[in-house]
Amino acid sequence: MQVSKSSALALCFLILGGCASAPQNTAKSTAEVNSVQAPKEPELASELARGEKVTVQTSQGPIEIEPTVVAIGDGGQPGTEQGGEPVYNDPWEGFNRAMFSFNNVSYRYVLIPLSDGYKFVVPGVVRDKIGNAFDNLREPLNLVNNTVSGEFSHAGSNLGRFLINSTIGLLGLFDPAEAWFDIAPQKQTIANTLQDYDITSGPYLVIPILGPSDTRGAFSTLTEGFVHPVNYIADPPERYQLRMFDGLDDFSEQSDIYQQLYDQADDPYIYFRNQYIQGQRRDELFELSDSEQQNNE
Amino acid sequence: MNSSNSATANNKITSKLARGIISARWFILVAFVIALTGLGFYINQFRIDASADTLLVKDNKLYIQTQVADQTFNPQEFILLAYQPKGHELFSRQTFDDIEMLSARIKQIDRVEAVTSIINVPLINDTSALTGDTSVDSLTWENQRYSPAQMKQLIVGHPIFTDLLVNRQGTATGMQIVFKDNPELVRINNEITNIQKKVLKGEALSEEDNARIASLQQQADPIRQQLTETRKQEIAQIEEITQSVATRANTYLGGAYVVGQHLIDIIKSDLMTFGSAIAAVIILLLALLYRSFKWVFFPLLSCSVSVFLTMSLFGFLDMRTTVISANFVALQLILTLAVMIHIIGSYREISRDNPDFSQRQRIIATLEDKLSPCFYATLTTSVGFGSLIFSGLQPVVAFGWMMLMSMLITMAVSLLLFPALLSFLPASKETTEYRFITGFLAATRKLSLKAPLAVSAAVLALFVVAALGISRLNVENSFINYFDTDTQIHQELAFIDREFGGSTALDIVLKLDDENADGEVVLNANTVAQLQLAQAAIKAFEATGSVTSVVNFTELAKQLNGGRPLTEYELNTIYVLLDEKVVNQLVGAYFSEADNTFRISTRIQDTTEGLNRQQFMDQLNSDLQAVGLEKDQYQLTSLFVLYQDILSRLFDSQIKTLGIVYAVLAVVLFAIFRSIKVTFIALLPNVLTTLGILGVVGWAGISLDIMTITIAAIAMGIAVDDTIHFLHSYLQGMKSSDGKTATAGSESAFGHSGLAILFTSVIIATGFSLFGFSDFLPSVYFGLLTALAMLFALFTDLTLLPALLNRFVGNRKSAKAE
Repeated sequence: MQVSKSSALALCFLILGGCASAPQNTAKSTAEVNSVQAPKEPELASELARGEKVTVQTSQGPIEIEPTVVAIGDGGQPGTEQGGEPVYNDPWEGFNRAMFSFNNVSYRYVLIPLSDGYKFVVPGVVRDKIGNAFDNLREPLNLVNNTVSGEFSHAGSNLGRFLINSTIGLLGLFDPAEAWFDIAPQKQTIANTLQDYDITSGPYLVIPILGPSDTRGAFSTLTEGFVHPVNYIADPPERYQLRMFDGLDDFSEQSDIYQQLYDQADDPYIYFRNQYIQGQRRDELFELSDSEQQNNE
Repeated sequence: MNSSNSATANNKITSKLARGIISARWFILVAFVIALTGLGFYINQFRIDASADTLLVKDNKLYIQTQVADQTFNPQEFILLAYQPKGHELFSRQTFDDIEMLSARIKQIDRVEAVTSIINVPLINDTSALTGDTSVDSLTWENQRYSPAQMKQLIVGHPIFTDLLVNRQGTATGMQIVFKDNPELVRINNEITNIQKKVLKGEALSEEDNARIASLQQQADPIRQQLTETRKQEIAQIEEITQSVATRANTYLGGAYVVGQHLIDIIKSDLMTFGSAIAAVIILLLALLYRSFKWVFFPLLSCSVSVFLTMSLFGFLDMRTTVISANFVALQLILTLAVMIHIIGSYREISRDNPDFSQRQRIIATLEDKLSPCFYATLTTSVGFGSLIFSGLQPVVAFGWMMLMSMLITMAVSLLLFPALLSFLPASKETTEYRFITGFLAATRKLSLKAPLAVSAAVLALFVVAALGISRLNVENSFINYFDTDTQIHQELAFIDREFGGSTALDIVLKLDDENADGEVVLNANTVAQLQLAQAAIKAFEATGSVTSVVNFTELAKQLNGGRPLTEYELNTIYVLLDEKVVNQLVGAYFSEADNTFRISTRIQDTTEGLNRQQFMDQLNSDLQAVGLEKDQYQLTSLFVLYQDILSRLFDSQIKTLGIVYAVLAVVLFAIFRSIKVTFIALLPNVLTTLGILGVVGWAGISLDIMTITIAAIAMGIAVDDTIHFLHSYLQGMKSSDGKTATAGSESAFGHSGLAILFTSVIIATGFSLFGFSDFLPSVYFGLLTALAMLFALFTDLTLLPALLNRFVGNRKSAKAE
């Protein structure tokens, strides 16, 4: 039961853009080469697709191109993954596939009907507010993670948001911190923190109910399950109900998407796995440039 | 003067013919009346088809590739309407209200499918918009009523809408007026393309295929004509609608179809205006030169008959006038007149020399004198036009055929109808010629007699200098620059061209391996990367305006994703999640999943300073390969490529047509004069004239294009007439004298033909120079250059030609002995 909470996290990566998150990489060892005969692609395009800026000399002088769509696998740092398709670090595919099928059945016959009911009963605006409230409850956890990572200004944001939204924002139902005070959310999970300490993501791992993750992510999720601030504001029975509600709230937004994607994929396991890993690696690669951007602002 | 010499076989035939014509005058008259009434019905079917489409060469690979690409991506017909506020801010309530009003009114036009503008496109700030409950379609100004400041923030620099709905500076906004397809026309075009596709595979079309295409074209034709008419009305309607905001904003209308429509308008009006202006000038000059009613009325009547007959014939044969051939009326008027001036000149001279001749005798004598040179002169003119048939450029070929036919009619009218008409007139006293003209002619005659070599050398040197300009010839084609810069049309088109992403379409169609190894995503990162590289290479050129493809959407997605690239799976997820209809609307024109092909669509800015189109194409090709594309992975298609293909053949074509003209004229001249020496001498002044004209084109920096390329051959065809008349008189004069002296030949030539040559040259030059007043620059160049060619020809015929004849043909010694 407890775990159903952060199916949010798992499915979060379905949202285009994904949530900012996740670890510093390199799994040198167990990389399973999944890519079949790589089609011969020109060098420049593969560099770009791996997330590198490229400069080409043309008749009009040098032109610089930055990637808009990337495919980065677990093959290592950009530049080491020469040509061809991304590599996915998935040594436990047997187990993962089994878990994936189990999850799929659970989603189809339990979670999706539940979330449909939830959506039917609770109108969109209210769902939105409830989402805010749960996000607010997460703020102390973000605060701790940001502090441990040394992101003190982000931690300050977490504190400010928690104080403002819990009071003026009516227990977090509204988000005046952002609307009136321009304090943007700064979510930070344990996985992010671990990543900051150069803990690698480890092999791909499908967690029961929560879905795609990796060893580091799984550790983060389980730990957060125990230390989530919800634990401190309610006694056990209500607590579990609340946690489930939180998960359902996030899941309700994603269930349609999940079904559509599952149905269109040739091999849904591969589709969700690659989407997860590529998203993670992309986030790792572009986090730096992201924070650079913030510094420039 | 002419009948006294020994009658050769030729002369016998000529005089028989001359008598025959006079005897058959009633028959000739009746025949022409029948032809006029019979063909006259068809004059209503005479059509101008001046769409830019007619300028294309249609049976080649590039054209078919373009058609196939259109079939795959089905880009819709649209025109752009730009709105530039005069006093208020672009992003303001006033602008939004105006656009809303304009859109609503334009949408009421029948064929308009949609009006895309900044007020009805979805504007998305970040990704939350895509996953939330609200549908993307509703995120428009119309639904959300964003504030002007928000609109500015959302639109300026937008990866998709910049150059299309807003200019780069954010000072004007564009509305894209999209038109519905005609389903029937689309079906017919598809069927034609499906047959023609064979050619791309290297197969030849069978008889049956060609017949099928012809019948399909016939079905399509009325629909196309209707469409042209409808487009014209639509543009007028839109212009009327935009008048309602004229006090607050400047509006500009542009796009390929608008250019086409303006071409049709300007050509139609030029046809009328310059046809009548030239007629007026002809009347004036005839009256001035001959001071006699009959020498105004009858030439004019004959000219009208030949133009009327020609137009009817074109109507009957369904030959349509294009941008290239639109000048045929002016050409034919002038050419018909030229023949008649020679006849009139001879007639007047005979009348003055033999005042007691009856009208019948006068005309027979005139015809005996002029029938053969006039026949040969029209024949050589026809050769000039006929050479265009071998130019290899479809519209120029069609022009060649049209002019060949009109020359046949001109010949018939001036050599049969005109003398037949004259024979009904009473014989009357003729006025004398102007003294100063005859004086001038006498002076040049003496000069060329005295110092033939010096004169030849001087003329040669002069033309060599002029001809050096040939090395500066270049080929360019810009439809916007066809219109005079002062005209409103030019200003509107140029504004759209500069501010809203260019005019002439250029498509890059790429066939890329579009699956990743797992086969899970429709568009993999490598493919997008390859497209991005290609697009960046294209965009790097100054001349490329808007550049649109799938990449613009990935750029937008990246921007919405906080500046972070998407993964190929995320992109695929969006693709899957979007409604199929929306996907089609958004990327259907740029990506065909079924064919694995992508289209990068761009428009070339015709107003780019110093754009060298051939160099642009070469560099684009090498750049596309520099960014990693194989030659067989992409095709360049669409209008720009088709025009460029024509331009690339212009030099070849120019050399080929001129070569044919020189060769065929040499043969004809040899047939007439039976002497290699004379043939060479006759050819030289004309070769100099054409090279001189090409040189002037080069010196003046005028670009050779599909219009100007015809000038040299036409100039040669017309100019050689003078040479033939002059030579004919010279040789006859020489033969009639005892010692075959140069003096006698020269006197005969100058006295007999000199005047007529001078008159025709002046009339033709004056007539053509009227085109200088056109707003359509190809007509201006055509007119002025042809006029110049006539003056060049006159100059060489009166200096170099007699000098060479005196030196190499006429007998100088016996002249001194006399």
